[in-house]
Amino acid sequence: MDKIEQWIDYALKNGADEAEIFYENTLNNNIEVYNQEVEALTSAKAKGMGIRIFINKGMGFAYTSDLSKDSIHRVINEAIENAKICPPDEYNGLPDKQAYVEIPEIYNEDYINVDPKEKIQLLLEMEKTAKLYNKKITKIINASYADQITNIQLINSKGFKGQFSSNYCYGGIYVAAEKENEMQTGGGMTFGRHIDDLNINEAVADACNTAIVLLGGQPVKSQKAEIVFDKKVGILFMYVLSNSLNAEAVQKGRSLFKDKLSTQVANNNVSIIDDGKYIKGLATSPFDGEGVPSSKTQLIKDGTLKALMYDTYTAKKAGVKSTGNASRSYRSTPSLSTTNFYLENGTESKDSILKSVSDGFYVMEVSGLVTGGANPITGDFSVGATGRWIKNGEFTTAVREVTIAGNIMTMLKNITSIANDMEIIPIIGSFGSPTFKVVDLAISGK
Amino acid sequence: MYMLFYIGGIILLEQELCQKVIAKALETGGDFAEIYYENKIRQAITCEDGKVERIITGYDLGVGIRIIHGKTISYAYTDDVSEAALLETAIIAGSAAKHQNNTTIIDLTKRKYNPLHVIKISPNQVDKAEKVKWVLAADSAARNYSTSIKQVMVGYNDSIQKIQIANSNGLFVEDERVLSRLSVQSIAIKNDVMQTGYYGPGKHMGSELFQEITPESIGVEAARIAVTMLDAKPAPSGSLPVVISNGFGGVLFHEACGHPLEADAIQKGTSVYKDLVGKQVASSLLTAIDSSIVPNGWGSYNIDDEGQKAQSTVLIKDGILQDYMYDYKQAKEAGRMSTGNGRRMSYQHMPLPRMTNTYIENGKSNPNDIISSTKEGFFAKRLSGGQVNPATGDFTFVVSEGYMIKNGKLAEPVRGATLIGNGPEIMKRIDMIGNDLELAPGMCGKSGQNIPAGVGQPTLRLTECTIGGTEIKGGK
Repeated sequence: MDKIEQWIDYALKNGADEAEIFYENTLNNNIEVYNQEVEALTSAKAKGMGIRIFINKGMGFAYTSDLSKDSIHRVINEAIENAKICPPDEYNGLPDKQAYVEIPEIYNEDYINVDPKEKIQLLLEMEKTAKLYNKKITKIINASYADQITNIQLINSKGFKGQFSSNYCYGGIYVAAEKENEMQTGGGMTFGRHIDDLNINEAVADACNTAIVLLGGQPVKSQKAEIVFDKKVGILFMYVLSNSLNAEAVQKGRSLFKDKLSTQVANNNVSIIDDGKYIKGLATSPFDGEGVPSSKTQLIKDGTLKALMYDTYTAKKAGVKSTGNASRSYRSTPSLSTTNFYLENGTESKDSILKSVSDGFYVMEVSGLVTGGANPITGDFSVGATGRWIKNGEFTTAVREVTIAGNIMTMLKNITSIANDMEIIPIIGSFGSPTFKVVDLAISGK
Repeated sequence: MYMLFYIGGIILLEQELCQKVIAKALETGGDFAEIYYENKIRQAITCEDGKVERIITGYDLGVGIRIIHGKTISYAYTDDVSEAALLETAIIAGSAAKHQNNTTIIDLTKRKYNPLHVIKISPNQVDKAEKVKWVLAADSAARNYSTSIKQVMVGYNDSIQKIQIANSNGLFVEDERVLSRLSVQSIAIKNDVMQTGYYGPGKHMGSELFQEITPESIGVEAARIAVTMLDAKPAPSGSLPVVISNGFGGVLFHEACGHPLEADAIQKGTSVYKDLVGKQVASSLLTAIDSSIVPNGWGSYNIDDEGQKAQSTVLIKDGILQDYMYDYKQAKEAGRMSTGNGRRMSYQHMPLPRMTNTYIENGKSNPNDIISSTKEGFFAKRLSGGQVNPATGDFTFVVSEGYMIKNGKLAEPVRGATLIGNGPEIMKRIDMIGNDLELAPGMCGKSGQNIPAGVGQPTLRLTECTIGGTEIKGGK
């Protein structure tokens, strides 16, 4: 840490008003198996430093993975130059120094001792289990294991000095089921802080069942119907909502929640939370990318918009406190982002929700929602959907090649039931959702 | 002791050091070893709310070492390019191979390729203040287009990537890639309606790109789309003849047909195009190409990320499948040459078969005739992105600018439309192809690696495609 401090001094001596250094050190492993053979194995040590400088309220940033002294000097000078040509903004600047509380649960010290052979063994077993799961499963498209150990150090000219370590490991499987020239795919995953936390059987069952039940899918006729969203789809809607529930979007006038604070924006049963200290989440840390302690923010409570997510810049602009939502790597400036973002559990079981549907659609996969299918500004969305039809509370046929469309704000008000099976599913960040039911969405098919 | 040395201010690895590292990597018995060295400088500027927000300079330096041993690839990378760190990384990469003492003598011969893509103004020769001016010019051009434009976001990016590749087959090559891009997203608001418009041209080119395409014109185009869509009606749902405009419309072919034509999908049997070379897979009007030699194309280069020379590959000719896209490993397993499609995001990633600039060739029709011969249909002027299941070819694409076609004429704009269907099926339904081929830049993601890929097509017509809209047309 002392070594890093000398670069802060160097920056201040060379014209910086304020300076911040973010140092990141990671160990990575990635394994893929195919047909019971290791197909690819990646291992790496990587480190880098990002330097943020403020001069006359202008911000400059530069980063490097080359940590030689010459290179660091060059990068600091580059950041200083960038800060000088950046126009001033009165809200720019570092946060005041705050104390943070360590979260030891996010780092499993034993994990580093796990033998790589054990990881390969687990993965081979996962592939084999999937292959033998059901004769309709004809291909294991991908079976992979990944892990990461990260150490972060953050230090700035306002006296903040912090560091923490965290780790995770992950097993994922992607399979194909085939019947009469038709192929359907399904994915499953499991993650934790130690290899012993991983539940490969559940991941395999999830992947295989998805692929199998989707076989023989047909479009249904265009109609309005009740729709039950699987958790894996729910998290994608959470992702879309999160882009609107942050202060930056509101301040820049591109939020669905602009001018809606303290008003009813969703049905009474809907509560949404961003929690940077949620132990089971993968985005958990004691402090954020600017050195602000992480916190739990109740964004929507019983249908009412209660708060937004803030970083230091947007908080200064709004005259409030940062919620610790500045996220980053050494390659980027901090930016306002979610930590662990989830829809809170309801009271019903998933089964009772499915049973309550007389004629509706259980959506298991959507395509295009996070790749442009939802307009983050108007809230209109139209996405491809795959899943199963429900008749009198029972699954009937598989459904594919249909789209579902509506408006996300209207949908929030039409969430009539929420199950009690919330889970963080880290596919696109650390988002969580229970199963939930929405009434009155448009399905277009044949 | 081997030292790093400088060429034009950029550090490269010495030949002898490469030889030593490759030999070390093969000590435990791999069949093939490779060093990929990357040194990249990039600059990014973002502007929103009329204010320059971030000015970023980044230096990425590192080495990836790959060993192929039977069917197994092991890969290790490091950002420490000292001799000691490289030798250690080589040992880590080699540890996956079975132990047997192997002494390999590597004889590297430097090969040089003539650069195919002329760079006139290197971005690092341009003052940052000048780049800031371009960003602000694009911003004000968009704002001045209409009073309905309420928000504008501008992103400027350039990068100079120097790579060097050495492998145990004796290959020793280097390349430099220069990319420039300026993109504008605008938001128009009128009454209660908000619409967005996006335009972001980019090329394998230096700063001369912004003389060819001015920052102002980029801002104006992004604003025009948003303002046009303000008056759009909700899109209908149903099945109609669909005309897709030239340029970025090619993303449909890229996603729905290009990915299944990458050799790893073929090898794993997850592609609908497996075993179909020589067979009719699309309309006989369709010829499709993947080419990394398109001059200054967004996905172009001189050599791929495995050192294979850039080339143009005919994928489909007159509707008949010709070939797939290969990297070194897939080609070796298939007993043939790579097609120069081995690409990777950075030294931290192992190469995979990937598209470069993938496009549908010009046809014979005049684009105007395509519209005028369509009695009732839908015109997708701009697609903004999409998703496809590579195993099934099922796709969903978002139409960011769309119009109805009535009696052979463009009618009212419609919003919120998506095109859905099955890629290989759709390719059989092409009944007219225009002569106005245009390429557009995109970022393509696969296995967690994002790389620049060009897409393109002339204006073309599908006899029928499902449109998912927000308006329900009474169920049949």
